[in-house]
Amino acid sequence: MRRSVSRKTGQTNSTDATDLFRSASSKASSKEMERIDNLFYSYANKSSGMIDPEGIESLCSDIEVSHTDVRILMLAWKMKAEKQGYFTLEEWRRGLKALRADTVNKLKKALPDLEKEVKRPTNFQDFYAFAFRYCLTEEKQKSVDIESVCELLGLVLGSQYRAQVDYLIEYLKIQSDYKVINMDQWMGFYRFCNEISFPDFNNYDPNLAWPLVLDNFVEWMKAKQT
Amino acid sequence: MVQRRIIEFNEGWEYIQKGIRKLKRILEGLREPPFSSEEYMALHITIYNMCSQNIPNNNSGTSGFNEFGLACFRDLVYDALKHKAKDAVIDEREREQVDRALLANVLDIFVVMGKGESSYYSRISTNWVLKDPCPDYMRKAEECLKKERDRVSRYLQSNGEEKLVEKVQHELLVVYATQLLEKEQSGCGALFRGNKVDDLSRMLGTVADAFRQHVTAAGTVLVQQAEDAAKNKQEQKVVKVLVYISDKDLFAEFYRKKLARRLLFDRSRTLARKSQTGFEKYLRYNKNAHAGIDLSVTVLATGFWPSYKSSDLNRPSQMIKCIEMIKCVEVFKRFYETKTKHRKLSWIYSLGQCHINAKFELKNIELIISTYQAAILDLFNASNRLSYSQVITQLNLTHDDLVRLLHSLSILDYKILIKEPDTKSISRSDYFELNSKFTDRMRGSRSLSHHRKVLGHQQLVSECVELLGRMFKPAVKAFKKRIEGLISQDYLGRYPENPNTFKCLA
Repeated sequence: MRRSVSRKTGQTNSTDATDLFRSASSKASSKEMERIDNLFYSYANKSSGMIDPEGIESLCSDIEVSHTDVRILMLAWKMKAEKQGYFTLEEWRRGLKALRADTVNKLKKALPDLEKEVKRPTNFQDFYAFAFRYCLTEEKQKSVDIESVCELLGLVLGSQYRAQVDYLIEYLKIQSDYKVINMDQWMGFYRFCNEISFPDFNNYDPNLAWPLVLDNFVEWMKAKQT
Repeated sequence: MVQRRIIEFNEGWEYIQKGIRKLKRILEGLREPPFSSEEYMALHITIYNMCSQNIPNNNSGTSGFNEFGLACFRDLVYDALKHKAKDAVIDEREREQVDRALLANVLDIFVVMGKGESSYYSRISTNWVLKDPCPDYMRKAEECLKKERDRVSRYLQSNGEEKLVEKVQHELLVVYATQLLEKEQSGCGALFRGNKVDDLSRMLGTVADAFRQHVTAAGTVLVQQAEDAAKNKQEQKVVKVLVYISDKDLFAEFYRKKLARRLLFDRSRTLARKSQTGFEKYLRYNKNAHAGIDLSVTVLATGFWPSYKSSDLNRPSQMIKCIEMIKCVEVFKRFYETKTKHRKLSWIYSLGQCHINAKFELKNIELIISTYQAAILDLFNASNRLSYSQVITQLNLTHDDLVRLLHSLSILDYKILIKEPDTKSISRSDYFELNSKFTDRMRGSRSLSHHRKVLGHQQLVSECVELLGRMFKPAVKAFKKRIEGLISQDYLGRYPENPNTFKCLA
């Protein structure tokens, strides 16, 4: 580890204590980073230098979380991971450093707090949008197929808005107007669950700019209810 | 009218001076015989003529001269003369020796003076309005009116009184009504505020008419303005709505259809009256051409009206089995052929209306229903109970149409037909029977709203909105689809703070 030795002329106000602290913390952080890196390499693919789906699977079993569990998605969000199923070193470092986890155990213990953090409204919208982007595997891909969307909806919104999500998933599967869902519609789903009273939909106004798929959904629900 | 001789100034002035000198002597108490009536008249006429001669001989240097002259005459001469005239009139009664002609002339003068009054008064009232606070003006006005009334009443010109009083009133009051009323310190408002009962009563008493006139005039203007504003507002609202409607051609189509219905069914207008009277004539002269029932037909020119589903001319009986109706169609067809050989008639039964006298258990009721509904009901003249399939085969309508018609007859508020089973929708296995117990009192609470006009209107509005909502849903959907397209192509994006607003991205 290198210490920056250059000092500006005239500066003599650094005390020994802060110097010591700085050096200690930087030492510690360098140690931490080392451990994080080591952890990375324990899961990473030797040839690609990234953690691939296989590596993620073994990570999951180590932290005792199913790889379909939403918490992995949350981890990916924390890492700002770009490609689904893969973690780069940079992403790994970013995520684990933020979680202050440099061992598997610490990572496991950090998950409940991560969940809480994600569920905070300010973060959740960001996480929700991230979840969709994470599915755009091809370059220039803008929409996600209905099947995946349904799964994703269940994953990210299911715990909070079970009833709406279940019906929405049912509708999306039987309707034939849309074969894929784009980001705007995806965000519309969240706004819908968040704002519209259920199951009466009393405050839903189709004359506002809701995506058409939701207008159709509400119509379908209302027809079911009579 | 006799041409007046032009009086030269010098000549006239000399004459007047003589009169003035004489008057002075009278006023100074010197021994001077009083003016005779002729002398008064001559003086007055001279002065008047001189003042009102045509240019350049009218010696009125200013326009006020004329009035001034009159005023002088009145103040100096007229007032003095009043008593004499009055006495003369009394004398006339008593002694009947007074020269009637002279008296008549004098009286005429007074009437003419009345004309002079208005200009006189208009002048003084101008001054008064400017100077006087309202109550004072009113008092003066009142006095004037009183004086005039007295004067006139003395001279027995009863019609003159009306005219005179009216004139004075007009000059004094009407012309200045607004000003008077609005005079800040002393105008109407102030009087009301100050509870000045006397002043008010004086004012209101005399001003009543003028006030009414003024208020009516001002009110009419305001109403006109309000109507214009309302019309403008309506127009603005309509334009606003039109702007939001993206599929204007779709809207136009809907509107055309609605307008057509309105024109056809609005009984206050009668379209094609000429051709209807033509048809009536034809029926009168062709005794055997009677359909047996009253028929009125409106013929629409194809190009101008929206297109409707119509039935084939050759086989009207396919749609309508009712004999009377078939006969009607035949009769009119024959009549129409006498008028023109080159036109083809297509019958649009969906727009038709029938008045049917239906015999129910409780009483006979006249039903006003559509042609198709009437055709359905007519089937029940032959049989008591019919199944759905029987109805549809006899009438040859489409399933959708028939469902709608049967729905209107058996499920809505007025249940003319009883449906078995009593479900809320028409199915192919249903049976129908005429509801003999039908009465016009069988209305749901909804229809009683005609007694409560306000409720009815609100209901109407909400129903309209609902209908419109249903109609324009397709337009809104199309609009949204386009928005979606633009979003997915990244031309449009939503504002995160307000997802109902979009911004242009491209």
